[in-house]
Amino acid sequence: MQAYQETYVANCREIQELLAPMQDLPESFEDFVQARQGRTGRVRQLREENSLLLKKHLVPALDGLMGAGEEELRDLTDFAGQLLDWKWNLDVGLALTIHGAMLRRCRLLKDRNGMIREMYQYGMSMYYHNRMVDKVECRLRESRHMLNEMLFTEAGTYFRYFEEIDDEETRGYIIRSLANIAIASRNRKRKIAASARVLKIVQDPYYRALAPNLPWERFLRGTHQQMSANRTELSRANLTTQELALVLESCTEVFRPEEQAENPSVRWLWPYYDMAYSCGFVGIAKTMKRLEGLIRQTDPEGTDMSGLYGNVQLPLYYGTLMRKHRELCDDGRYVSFLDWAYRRMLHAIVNTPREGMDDYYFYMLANVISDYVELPGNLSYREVTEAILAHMEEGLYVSSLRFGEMTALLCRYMMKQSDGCMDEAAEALGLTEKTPEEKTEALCDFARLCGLYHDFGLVKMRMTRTMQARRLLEEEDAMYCMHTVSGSDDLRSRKSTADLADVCLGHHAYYAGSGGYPETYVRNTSPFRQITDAAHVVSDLMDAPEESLADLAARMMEQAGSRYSPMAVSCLMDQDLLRELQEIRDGDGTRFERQLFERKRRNLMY
Amino acid sequence: MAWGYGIRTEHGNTLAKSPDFNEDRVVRRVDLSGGMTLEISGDSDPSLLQGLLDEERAANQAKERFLSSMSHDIRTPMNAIVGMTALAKNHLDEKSRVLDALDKIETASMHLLNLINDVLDMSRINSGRMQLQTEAFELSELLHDIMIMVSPQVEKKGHTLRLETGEIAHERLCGDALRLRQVFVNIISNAVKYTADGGNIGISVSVHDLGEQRAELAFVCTDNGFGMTEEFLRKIYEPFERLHTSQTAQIEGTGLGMSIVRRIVESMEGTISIESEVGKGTRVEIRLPMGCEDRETEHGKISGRRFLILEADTDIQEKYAQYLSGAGIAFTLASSFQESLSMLTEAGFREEPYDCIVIGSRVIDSTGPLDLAAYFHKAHPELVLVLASHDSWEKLEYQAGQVGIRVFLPLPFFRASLIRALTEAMSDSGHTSGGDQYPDMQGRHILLVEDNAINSEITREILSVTGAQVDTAENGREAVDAYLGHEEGYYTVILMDVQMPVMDGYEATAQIRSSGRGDAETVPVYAMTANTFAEDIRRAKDSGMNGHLAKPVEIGSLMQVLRSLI
Repeated sequence: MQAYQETYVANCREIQELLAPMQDLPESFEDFVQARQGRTGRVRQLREENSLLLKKHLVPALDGLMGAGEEELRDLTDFAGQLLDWKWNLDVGLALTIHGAMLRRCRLLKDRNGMIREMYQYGMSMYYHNRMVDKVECRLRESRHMLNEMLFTEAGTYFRYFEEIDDEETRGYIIRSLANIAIASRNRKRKIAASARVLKIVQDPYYRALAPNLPWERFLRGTHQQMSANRTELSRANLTTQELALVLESCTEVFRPEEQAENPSVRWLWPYYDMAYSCGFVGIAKTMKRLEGLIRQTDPEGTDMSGLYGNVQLPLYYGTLMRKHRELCDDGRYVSFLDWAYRRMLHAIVNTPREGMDDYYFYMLANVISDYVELPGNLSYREVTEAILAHMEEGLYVSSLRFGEMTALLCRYMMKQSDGCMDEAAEALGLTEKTPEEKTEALCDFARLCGLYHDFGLVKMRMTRTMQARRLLEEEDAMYCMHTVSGSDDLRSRKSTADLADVCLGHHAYYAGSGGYPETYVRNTSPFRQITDAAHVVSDLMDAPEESLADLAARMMEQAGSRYSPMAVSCLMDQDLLRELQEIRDGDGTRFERQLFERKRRNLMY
Repeated sequence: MAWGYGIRTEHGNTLAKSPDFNEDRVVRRVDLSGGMTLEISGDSDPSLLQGLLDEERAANQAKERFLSSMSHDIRTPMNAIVGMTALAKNHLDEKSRVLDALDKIETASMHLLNLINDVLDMSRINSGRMQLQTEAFELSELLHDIMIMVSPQVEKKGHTLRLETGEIAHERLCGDALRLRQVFVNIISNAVKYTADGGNIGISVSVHDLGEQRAELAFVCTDNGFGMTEEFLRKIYEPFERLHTSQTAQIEGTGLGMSIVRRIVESMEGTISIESEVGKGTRVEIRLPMGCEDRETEHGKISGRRFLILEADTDIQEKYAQYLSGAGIAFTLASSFQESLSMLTEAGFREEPYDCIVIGSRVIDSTGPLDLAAYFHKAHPELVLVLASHDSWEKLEYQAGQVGIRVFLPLPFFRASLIRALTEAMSDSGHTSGGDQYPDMQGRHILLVEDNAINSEITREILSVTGAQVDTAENGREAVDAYLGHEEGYYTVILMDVQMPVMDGYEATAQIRSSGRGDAETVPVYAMTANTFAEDIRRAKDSGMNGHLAKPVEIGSLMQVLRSLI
């Protein structure tokens, strides 16, 4: 790799370490603040350096790619390989950009083998990049998956010229691409068909003889694993008997040996039990018992892949099965086991050492946010998500506290200016019996909480790390806009956080609905619309830290009624309010750091 | 028969009379106010006069009923408009209520407009003022427009609407396309309205040759809706007659549609017949004689070209096969994107590339034609992309343009419209080079601003096949000088690298835009850069650039930009 590439990789590693939670929480708050300030400052420095490296070196390198020599191309490939190594995945977006440029180069030069290689690499980068929106219901996700599938499909179409392509490495990419159609496709039948086809190929001695140096056994096992991932379809009626047989065969191939091993890993035992349940061989009661056994047998301090699987993923499956079989939710025994398992889950999350916070760890976290089942009597979603926010996203937590404080203050002024303007919100929160003063305080507290969760959607999408390492790419910018939908969908579906969803969804939407995002936010249907209006104003005030609030307020006034709520903006004309807001936005954030510190100390009890 | 009129006073004196009044032939007397009498004289049989008077009376009564129904039908939506307007004014600060009121005003207004249009049509028809136009039109375009107009209703009710075309002896007919549209949309709308949700509507259209430049257009519309009784069928053409059952009570309509339909069909010397059974459905058949004006369809430009047709609908596949085989055009059909990619790879491998891909209305395993087009546009820029769709082009145009779609083929198509679309795809006043399609830019000038010699050479090589004169500059300063050194409008486009020594692309663009020349704000400037950071793309736009092309350059994207500019 070239020097700038090595520096960039090293910077990304350092940023990852700096953004990881402190291993040992300092005893004193002062030490904590000092450590955080040091880290925050260093991250900012590294980000600037990264931006400069990319602008000064990578962009010109890609600009001149057509004239690049072999060594330079090799360096770029290595660089992309370091950024997307499937374990740490330091910068998937940049790897995607590099491979995209390489693919375009190969197409222009009509370099067939290069095209096949780059279609595979670009496809893999895209697959990981798409994870940002994997759990967000949006059209963008569908389009990107389609594109991903088409890339692998196109590379795979060269299989018919397998004999004519004499480069073994290229042949390997063709096989891999054919197999990866199954991971990119969202259509179950196409997944199964893709895996079935590859299973035939990799077991065919003819093709093995044609490319003897390819890792055929690894391909075989990998394809069986991929096929076995379709086991959830076994319980549905939409597979043909042949498809069922294929899935079962692969499940047996992959899981049976593990089950019969001396120390079977929970990562393989559970899918085996899951297969038996999905086929109907074993009923739900026995399946739950088996699952409980697996969770219990996992070392609670285990934070390797197996440990995370047993401590984090398995409780999520337990909750999902309870949700599917509603009668279990009324059974106290299952509810209390779930609560116990969830607490262990939080313990594992909070205690995973820095060296364990790889791509798999973040994948688990995203699953927790999406799949957590909140039941009366167990740990609330609010508690779990706040713990995760404070643990993993310290910067976001602090800035969101600031955001919440500013929103609460603005709401207070709005209520002072227009009595009763938030009556609907008060009613929705069950505050009608309170005195006016109590109502105002309660609504301000609620606004603070909404502020804390306003950018919650970014956590599941894993965007914060990318945003702190460098500026966003155009594609990522489009994905970023999905964070409001991502967050609000998850918040709305749980009782403890449902009320927070509207502000999460609408804080970037224009007042009159004429702009901003997302389109799905309908202001008039929300009882919390005035709070969302306030949050929108605060969001734009915070997004321009270099400008004075007075200037921003004057500009906002011009757009009152269209972009901004007239009520919210008219409050900004009050100089006292502006002063207080400025103080929160730009002033000493010690109190917010203290709240973070206290929250992290509470996390220690898990 | 000549009628005469006279008015007598109470004293029997003639107060006034018409020239034809014959006091010896008074056939009728009518008492007027003030003791006066109206006398009517004539040569005719009084009973005939009585008959005429009865007819007149009946006509007056019909008019009164008409006016009464109409005034009710006008008053109802007017009440809604007035009421909702008042409501909105009283609740200006409650956006939801205002929006709700506006929605209702919109619905009532549309209903009122439809009623007024229908009444005016009726009036025109009754008074013989409706003039039918006779102009040549394409049947495929008419059907496409009709499908667009009825689609929203169909979708709302979850119906399946199937359009079949039989023998089409002539594609270009002579008649009043506007009135035809009115008739067919009316029939289809009734089928949609009077069929329960999730029903089936079938339309069949054929054109039979009658010789001597004449043809018969046959239109049949069937549905599995509520059906009509014999009794109602007898009065279906009467104004304001509507089916009144519990199922149809909520269905809106003016009750004038079928009256208008029949009048128009009769004006066109056509026939209309209706069969219906309660609970089973209805079949409406219209036959209209029309002139025809066939145009010779040249397919010379597409002979020797290879087309890949991506379409899973077997009926439409058959049409492609029928028309293209008939014209001797080479084509391959694919139903899924996997199949199409496989064919493209094979074609590339065999060095027998396709020239054009037609992306159809239904493709197996696809998230939509635009996603497919986006992929082909990037991966196979040598292909000309054609989109075949039932949707309105206005709705799709912007997004389609973004993903490289060159030509739109409205569905349904016939031989001539298909050949025309493919010919347009293959020409576009362009020319070919090595099987690829490039826009013809002979006589035009492009300014290529690029500091990297290899990139400059490659881009010039790509641009050379367009025929454009390519000037080069190695930095932003040279670019500004080159721009200012030529007359306004000299450059069709400026392709601007961003990171350059001396002056970068942003600065150069900003200087061009602020130069004060007449074309300063309009000359297209496109960034060519590998920099795809969102902030920098925004910066490019802020500096006045029109768009952005990624490096290494994609031929398809570059050609699309050039095509859009000429």
